[in-house]
Amino acid sequence: MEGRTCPSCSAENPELARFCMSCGAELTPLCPSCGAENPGGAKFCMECGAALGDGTPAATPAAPSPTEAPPEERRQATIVFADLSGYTAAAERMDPEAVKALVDRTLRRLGDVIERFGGSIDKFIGDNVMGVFGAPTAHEDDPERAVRAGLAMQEAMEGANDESQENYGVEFSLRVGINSGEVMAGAVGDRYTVMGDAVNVAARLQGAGRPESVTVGESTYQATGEAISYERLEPLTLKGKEEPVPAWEATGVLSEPRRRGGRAQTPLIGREEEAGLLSSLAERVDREGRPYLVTVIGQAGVGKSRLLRELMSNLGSSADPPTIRRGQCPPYGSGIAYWALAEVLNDEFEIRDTDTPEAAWDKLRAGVTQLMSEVGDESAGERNAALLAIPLGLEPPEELRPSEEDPQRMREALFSAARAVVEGIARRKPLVLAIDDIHWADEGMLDLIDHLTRWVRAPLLLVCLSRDELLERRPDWGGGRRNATTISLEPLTGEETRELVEALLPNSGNGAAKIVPQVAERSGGNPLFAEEMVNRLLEEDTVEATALPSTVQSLLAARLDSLDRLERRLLQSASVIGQTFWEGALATTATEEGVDLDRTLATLEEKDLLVPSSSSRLAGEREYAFKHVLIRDVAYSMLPKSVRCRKHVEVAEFFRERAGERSDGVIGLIAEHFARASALGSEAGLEPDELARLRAQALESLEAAGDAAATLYSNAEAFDRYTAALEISESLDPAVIARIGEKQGDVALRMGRVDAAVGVWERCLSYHRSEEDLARVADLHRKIGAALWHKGERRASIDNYQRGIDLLKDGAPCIELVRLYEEAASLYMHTGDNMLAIYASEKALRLAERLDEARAASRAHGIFGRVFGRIGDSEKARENLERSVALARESDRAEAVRALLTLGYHLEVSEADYEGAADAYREALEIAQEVGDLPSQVELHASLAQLAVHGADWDEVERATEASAKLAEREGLHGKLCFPDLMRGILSWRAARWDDAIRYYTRAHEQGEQVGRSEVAFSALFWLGAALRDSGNLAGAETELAKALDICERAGLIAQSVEAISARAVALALAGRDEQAKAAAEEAERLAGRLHYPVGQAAKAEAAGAAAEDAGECAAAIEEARARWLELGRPLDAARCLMVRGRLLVESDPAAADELLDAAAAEYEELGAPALAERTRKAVRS
Amino acid sequence: MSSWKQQALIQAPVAEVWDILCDPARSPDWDPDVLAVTGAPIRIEKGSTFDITGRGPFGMKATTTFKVEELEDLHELKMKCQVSGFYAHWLLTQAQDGTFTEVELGIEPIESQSLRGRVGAALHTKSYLRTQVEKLLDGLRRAASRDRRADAP
Repeated sequence: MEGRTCPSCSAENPELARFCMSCGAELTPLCPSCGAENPGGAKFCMECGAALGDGTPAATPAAPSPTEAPPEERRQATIVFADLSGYTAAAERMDPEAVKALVDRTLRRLGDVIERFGGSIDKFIGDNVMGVFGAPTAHEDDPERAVRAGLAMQEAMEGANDESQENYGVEFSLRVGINSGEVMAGAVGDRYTVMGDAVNVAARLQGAGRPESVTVGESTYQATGEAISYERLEPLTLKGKEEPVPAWEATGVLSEPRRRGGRAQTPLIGREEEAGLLSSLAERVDREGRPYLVTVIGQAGVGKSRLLRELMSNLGSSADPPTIRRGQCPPYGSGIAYWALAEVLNDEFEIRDTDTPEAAWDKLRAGVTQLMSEVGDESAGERNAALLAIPLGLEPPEELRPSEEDPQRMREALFSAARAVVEGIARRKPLVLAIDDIHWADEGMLDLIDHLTRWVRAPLLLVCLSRDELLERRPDWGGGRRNATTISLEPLTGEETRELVEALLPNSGNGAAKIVPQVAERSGGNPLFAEEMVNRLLEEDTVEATALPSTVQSLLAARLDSLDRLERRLLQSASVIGQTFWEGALATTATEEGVDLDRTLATLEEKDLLVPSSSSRLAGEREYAFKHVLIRDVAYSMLPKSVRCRKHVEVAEFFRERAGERSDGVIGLIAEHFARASALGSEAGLEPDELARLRAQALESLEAAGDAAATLYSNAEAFDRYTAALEISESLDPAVIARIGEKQGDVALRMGRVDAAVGVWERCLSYHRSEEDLARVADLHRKIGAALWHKGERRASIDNYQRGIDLLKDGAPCIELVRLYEEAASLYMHTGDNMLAIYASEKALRLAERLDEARAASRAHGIFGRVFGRIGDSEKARENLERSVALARESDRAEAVRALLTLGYHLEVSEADYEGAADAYREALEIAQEVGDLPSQVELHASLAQLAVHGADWDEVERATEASAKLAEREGLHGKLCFPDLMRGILSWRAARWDDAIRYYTRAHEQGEQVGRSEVAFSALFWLGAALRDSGNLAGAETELAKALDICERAGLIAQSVEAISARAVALALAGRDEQAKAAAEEAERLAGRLHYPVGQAAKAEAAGAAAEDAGECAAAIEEARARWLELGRPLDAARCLMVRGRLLVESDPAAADELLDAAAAEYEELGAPALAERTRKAVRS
Repeated sequence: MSSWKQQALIQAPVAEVWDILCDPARSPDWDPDVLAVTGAPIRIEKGSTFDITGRGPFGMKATTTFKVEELEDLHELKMKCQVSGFYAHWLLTQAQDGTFTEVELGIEPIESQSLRGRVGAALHTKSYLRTQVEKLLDGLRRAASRDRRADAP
């Protein structure tokens, strides 16, 4: 034992001596709590407020060791100020020394009261005492303790006044002010104290209160309302506060104070029904082989994770357990795109973060390829693996990298790959996919969950856990679907909570009878709260609890304060990493603090604060999670901002170092930590140089995270990242602001936030103008123009293109100018201004050729081809479209798909070259499948189906239609459903199912219009007209064909217009409207004469026959039409010619009519359309 | 007031097509309804006037004065009959090796229109204009083709 030196005679004395053994002088007492020296006679430590008493150490569990000052922390605390008044009157009557002694005694008496209720004395100032509840040690009910202490101080004051009145004829009055809030606690100089607005307000409340009262602020009132009775005061005007402050005066205690304790395993109580439902859903999924989404929603601590554990336990113990994979969405908002997916994939393919990129890729490729081969689609293995490499932060070999540049298509491809893999896993055996905390998921992850629920065709149970906040972001989550259920977990009933608490308190004897109802009541039916309260009671090994937590914040703070200092430090450091953390990330803290990391983590695990994970995302690192996020939140909230700042940097650097070359996969996480560090550093008043370095790191990582999210089409995520980066960069280089701003505008436009995009780009424009960077200015004009075109502001759009072009046209050729012309050409083409479209395309093409930009040249040729096709110059159209294809093949396979599609369409519609069209479509389909271009695949399957209709190859029509429909539905490509719907309409027409046909055509027309596919919208109306004509509704047919012609005029579909006018002429003739039929036939004749479309020649001959006045002319024209249709390879149309002629002769020559209709029926029969044959024969009989 | 517009690709450079259009004296060579042109300058410019004798609707032969109202070199030419308000508005732009050509024929109101002018205007129906547009484009195409053959070595 170390001795103590007497300040008077320098003699050495034993450690616990209160008076010098040599001279009898009083020794300065050492605080048993914090070790600080105190003046002689002090009863309470000046540093921490602990009672000095007889030197026995205080029983406070969280008291710092004598050698350790309490750490600096942000804490929730309640501050009590007590002020004696009447001091002047006493001074008049008494000796000053006696007055001082009286005040001193009175204040110490009041201080005793504070300590009796578990508070600590912060300081004595004159006739004032300041007490603190919640620092350095928290209790679950600090606000209540403080108010009780305040009331008790008033009682104590009465006793003290009785005595002083009797002895000195004087008395004091006492005013007490109390307030709760966050404070900064720690050493100032060599003294532990608390600081913050909550302290100031408490002092002001005390000053404003009436004598002999206890005045409290709002936060204290809110925390104690159920235990203390109050009278509301008029809001007080306090110095330093702009607005009057609400205040209450405490008038008494409603209940006795209570205490706490703690530890146990939570049984499943009150959730049997929900657990049964989950199990039955798992069985149903297994039985039906279909996906099912169940979302368990409820507040923090209500039992979601416990319910999931129950399900996992039940499934794991079944005879044939399903595959179980788990993913968790990290707590940093929507920070980490597809994190949960990455967890599932890593788990499935046993990928560890210490795997080299090559090894990780090999595992992924092997695993995905194996899965794909099992489902008979081996060719998709590598492609899907390459797509799934993105969320894992892996880079596949060059030849396998997705070539798609359109982020939306990229996302569709990623979703498709994820679906295929999940489906593959689930086909081996039923799969349970549990995703925790989806209220923190990024938008992309939520969409992916939705996608899997819709389109997986295998036994998959998706169990998602979420807090209520999810419904604020996605009010219709899981709604309106047969395969989705939401389980809303409500707090337990009082009876259930009591049952739970009883189960958590084994062998507690009679004491439990008292504790159980208290815990049950205080926990409010929240199992976590109840569990934590019980844990505390058990830890203290007592059932004599007199206090229970009033809020979980104070409960958990109290629980953390009960830990050993090093344990708490470690837990606080872990809280910076997140809900899940790794041992290695705490290495720096462990070294700094001298912590035995293994042992401390084991202790925290034993204390049930941490849970080890069964597997780890970081190989070689043990992974832990906070048992509940609230514990993590409270631990985090206690760290000072400057400490948080430093630790966030450490965590970011840890992740960056561990990720190495694969940092793309965790860039969001790194960015989040750097950004938080930067924000906290700013708030904490970091040194300017250090703050600047931190901001630069945050900026760099946020921009990279934004780029990564944008690549995955996680637009909201990317937007937020860029926004955060811009907030940081405000004081930095304007060039950086402009660069990031431009990217932010890009994603804003994708999100449909046109005004936001334009606003950002306008600001970027200002910067680039000031720098005289013409290329950037011009390119921004292009972007702004394109954005305005989205809004339909054609004039403003063109103005912007023109401004950009004007800036660059006289300079050296550059890609920015090519793009401007390209965009302008596209706009003009879509608005039907062929002249300007050609002008701009010509410019774009010339420049693209000079710059050797094959892709741009391909697009320019594509526009030439489409415009030439429109004006009836098929030869030039074909020439350009073929050139477009050739250039696209050179530049980009994804581009080749588009070029081939356009060529195929031209060959089909304008040239009736069905073989050539089929070749183009097939090649495009093959490439689309290779590059994973799903939307084009939907369109191409339907296009091949359409070609098969011409040849009445119904098996092929059905196969291709089914392929198109299945893909569109499976992938959720709603905008593409018009293609298969059109074909389904034709199949229904073939079967004479008129209602179905009309329904499909109507839907295809509406969808086609919605997505701006006028060709499809036209075809749908054209075929609808045919269905109505064949079902006998000639007026309806004529109306729909007129509408189809409107589309031709509006969209410049000249080739199609000949066929539509001819069809209308036929419908009019069948309806007996001879004059109109004749006019329409003449119109068709004239158009066909000018435009020379092969289909137009056949169609106008048919129209001429139908409208002919003379039977002989009719027969000749119809025969000519038949011959042309047959020559084109369209036997169904040839059969229709017979049917039309027969129907026209029904009245004038019934016998001939019957013969023709019989012949038509026979041909329909032969062409595999028996229902149409039967329909035609009915016309004979009638 | 009626009008009709149509576009076509003419396989000749813009300059050649432009030369044909801007030489009113050559009109009878490629416009089948123009019989003679008198008073045309060698090089027309905005404001130039000249007389055209030609066939109108129903084959009616007439001589009327045309005025050049718009002219932008190698790109735009608009001429209008000062009696009926009948106009031809040409736009040209290069399209690869050829000329993308747009022509609009129509009737526009003119000040102090005579009875003859009003009758003439009324006869320019949309159907008539459409037919004329096709004839003009065919004629221009043939003329350009002839020129190129003549220039060939």
